[in-house]
Amino acid sequence: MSREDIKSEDGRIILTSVLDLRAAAPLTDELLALRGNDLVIDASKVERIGAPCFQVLLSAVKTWAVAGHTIAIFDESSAFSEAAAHLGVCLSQPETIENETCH
Amino acid sequence: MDSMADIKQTFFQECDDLLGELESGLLDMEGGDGDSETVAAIFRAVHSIKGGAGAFGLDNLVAFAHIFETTLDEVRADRLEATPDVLSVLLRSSDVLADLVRAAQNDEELGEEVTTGLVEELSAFVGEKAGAPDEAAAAGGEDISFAPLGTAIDLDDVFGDLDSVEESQRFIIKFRPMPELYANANETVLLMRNLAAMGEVNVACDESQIPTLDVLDPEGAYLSWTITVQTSNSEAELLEIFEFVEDDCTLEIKSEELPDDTIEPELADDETIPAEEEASHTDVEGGKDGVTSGDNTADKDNVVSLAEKKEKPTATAQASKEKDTSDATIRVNLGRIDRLVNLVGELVINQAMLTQGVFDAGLERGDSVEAGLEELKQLTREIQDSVMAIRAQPVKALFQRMSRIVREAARATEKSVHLVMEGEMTEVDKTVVERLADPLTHMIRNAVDHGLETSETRIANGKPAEGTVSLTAAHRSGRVVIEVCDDGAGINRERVRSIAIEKGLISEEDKLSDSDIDNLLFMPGFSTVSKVSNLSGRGVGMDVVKRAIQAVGGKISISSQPGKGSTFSISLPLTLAILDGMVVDVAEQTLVVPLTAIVETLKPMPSDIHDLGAGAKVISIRGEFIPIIDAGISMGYRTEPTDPLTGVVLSVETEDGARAAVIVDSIQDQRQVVIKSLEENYGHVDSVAAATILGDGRIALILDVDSIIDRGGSAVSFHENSLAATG
Repeated sequence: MSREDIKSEDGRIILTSVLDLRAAAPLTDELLALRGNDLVIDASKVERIGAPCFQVLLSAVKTWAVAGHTIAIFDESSAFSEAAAHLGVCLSQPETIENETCH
Repeated sequence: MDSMADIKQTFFQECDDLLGELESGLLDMEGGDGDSETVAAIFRAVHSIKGGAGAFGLDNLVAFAHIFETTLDEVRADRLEATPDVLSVLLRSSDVLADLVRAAQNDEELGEEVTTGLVEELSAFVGEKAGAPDEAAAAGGEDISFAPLGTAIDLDDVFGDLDSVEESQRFIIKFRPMPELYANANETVLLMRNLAAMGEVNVACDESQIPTLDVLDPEGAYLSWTITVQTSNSEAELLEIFEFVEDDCTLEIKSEELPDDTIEPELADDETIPAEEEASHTDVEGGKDGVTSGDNTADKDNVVSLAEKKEKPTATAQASKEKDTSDATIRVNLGRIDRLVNLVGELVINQAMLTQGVFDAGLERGDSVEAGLEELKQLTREIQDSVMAIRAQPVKALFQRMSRIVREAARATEKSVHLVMEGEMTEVDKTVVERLADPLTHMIRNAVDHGLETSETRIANGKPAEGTVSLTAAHRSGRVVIEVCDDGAGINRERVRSIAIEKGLISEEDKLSDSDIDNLLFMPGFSTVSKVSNLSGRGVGMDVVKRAIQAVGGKISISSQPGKGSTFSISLPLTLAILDGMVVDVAEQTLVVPLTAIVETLKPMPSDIHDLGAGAKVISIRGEFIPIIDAGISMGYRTEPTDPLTGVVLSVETEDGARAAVIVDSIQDQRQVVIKSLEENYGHVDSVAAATILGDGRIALILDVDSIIDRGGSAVSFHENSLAATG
C-alpha cells in the first residue's frame, strides 16, 4: 500500500499517506536513491506517521546536511504536523534551525 | 466545550477507523500477509473499542469486545494458531463488533442471538480465559487512559475541569523505546498523544543518536524522550499509558508536587514559548528532578511546548485544546457544504454572465475590466476546486463495507471467495460514494452468486477452488472508474439470449453482437435466475443498478470472456457540479462538449476524408482512420449531414479508448459550466450527459461523448449515404 504510493522525480518525494513501521524501509531506500541532490519532500498526503518514519526523515536531514545539500519538507499535512508536535521532533536542517520555527 | 454526545460521536468516528484497521488487518492475515505487527494492531483496535465502550457504559459492546480481544491475545501470544477456521470466526466477529458499534451509535439494542453463537465459538478457542470482562474494563477505568485514543483526550477535556487544581503534580518521564516496541505495532506518537490528554505536556526529543541514512536501521529505535507532564492524574495512571510497552522500553517516571502558583504564567500566553527559553525551563526542571542534562543538551532546539491557548491560566490546561486549534479536521453539517457548492455553481454562472456582458459592451482588448474578469475567473476556479476537495472522500470506507458483503455472500452460497481491493484511496465526491453503496453491493453479490462457479466446477475446469472477486478504483481521464471483476465462468450468452427471447425483449431474428447480448442484462425485468435466491435475487435487477449509476452521472459497462470471468465497470464524474467544456454550435443549437473527452480539434482537408463501405465516412488523422459522427444528426437537430469540410472536427476519445471525429459547425468558447442534472429534473436522455445555463441565460445540453460514439456506428454513419464522396 505504502510502497507504490511513494513517487520520486528529480529530487522530489511525495510522502505516502500511511507512514507506519512498514513504510520505513521503503522510505529509506527511496531517500538513499536520491542522495547527492537537493531534495524537497511533500508531506501533504500524510494521514498517519509514526516514530520510525520520523527517524528516517531526521536521518535524511542529517545525511543531507553532512553532504552539504539542502532538504526541505513542505506542505505538511495536519496529521504530519500534529505527530511531529507530539514527538517534539524538528525537521529543519541544522544551519537553518534558528530561523525556523519548529512545532 | 463539547457535550457528552459530541464526545461519544467522536468515539464512534474513531470506531469507524478502528473497525477499518481491524478488518483490513484480518484480511491481511487471511491473505497470508499478516505478521506479528498486524496481529498486535488488530488486538489494539479491539482493545481500544472496548476501552471507549466501557467509558460510555456500552456493556454489550464491552462484553463482546472482551472475548474477541481475549482470543486475539491468544493469537498474539502464539498460543492460538490463526488457521483459516480461526480467521473465519475472527472476521465474523469483526462484522458483529461493527454491528454492535452501529447499534450503540443509534441507541439500539441488538438481541443476544447476534453474539451468542460467536461468543461460543470464540470461547472454544480460549478455554477458561473467556471470563466476563473485568470490572475495571467494564467501568472504563482500566482502559480509558490508554484505549480510546483520541476519545481519551476528549474525556479528559470534559472531566479535566472538574479536577481540583491543588491535585496538580508535575512528572518527569524519561522514555527510551527499544526496536521491539515498534516491531510489536506500538507507536510512540499514540503514547505521547495519550500523555498529552492527561494534562500539560512538554516534550523534549533526543535526536542525537540518529545516524546517517546509510547506516540507519529503518526499524531501529534511535529517539528517546524526556517528557514533563503537569497533570492531576496519578503516577499509576501515567504508567497505564505505557502498559503495553513496558517490556519494550526503558521508562522512568518521577513525580514532584507543585503548588498551583508555581505554574509558569508564560504557559498561559498565546504564543509558543521560544525554543531557547523553553529549553532552559526544561533544564531547570531536569536539575530539580535529577534528570541528567546530557539527555537534554542535544534537544535544546527541539523542546516543544504543547501548551496551548488558555482562557485562564489553570494548571490543568489540556493539550487536547491545542489539538482543537491545530488539527485541521472539523465536522461540518453536510447541508452547509451543499449550500456552498450550490453557491459556487451560481457564482460560475454569474461570472459567465458577467463575461458575456463585458463582451457585449465591446470593450477593447487589454481593458482593465477584462483583466479583472480574468482574475475573477481564476479565483472562481480556485474556490470551486477547494469546495470540491471538501466533498471528496476516499472510496476506502465503501470498499471495506464490500468485503463484508463478499464474506456473507460466500457463506450464503457456500463458495470460497477471495476479495482483492485496489485503489481504495481514490477520492470521489461524497454524494457519489454514498449513492454507490447499494449498486456496488448488488454487483458484488451478483459476482459471487452468479459470476463465480462452485468450487467443484472450478476444480473440474482447472481453476483454483477459490474464486477471486476484485474491486478496483482509479482515476481515468477526469473520471473515476470502479470495476468489479470476477474470475468466474463469464456470461453464458446463449442462455442470456434465449431468456431475452423468452421474455420478449428481443426477437429470434435479431442479430446481436456479444456486447449487445451482455448489455441485455441491463434491460428492465431481465433476470437469469429462475428461482429467487435469497442473495442477489431480491427483485432488483441490473437495470436498477444501471439507473442508480446514471442518477449520479455515471455509466456502467460490462465485458465478459467465456470461462475467464466478467468485469462490470462503473465510470463516474469526479464532481457533480462543474465541468470544463467546449461550447460549440450545431445546427443553430449550442452544445457543450466535456473537455476531458476532446483529444484535439481540427479543420479537415478534403484528402483526409474517406468513404467507408455503405456510406460511412472516416477521417485520417496522422495515418489513423477514425469514424466521423455528425453531432447534428446524432442529436436529431437535422437529417441531412453537414459537409465535414465546412465544419470543425473534434477528435474525441471515450474512457475505454474508443475514438471518433465529431463534426460540429463551429467552436464558440472554452469555459467552465455548471452541471444541471437532467436525471434529477427530467430523466435520462441518450447522448446527453446533463444541461447547463450559459452566460446569456440560455440552456445548453452537455454532450455524452461515450453515448454518441456508442450510437454513432449504427445511428449516424449509416445514414450518411446522401453525402457525396469528397475526398
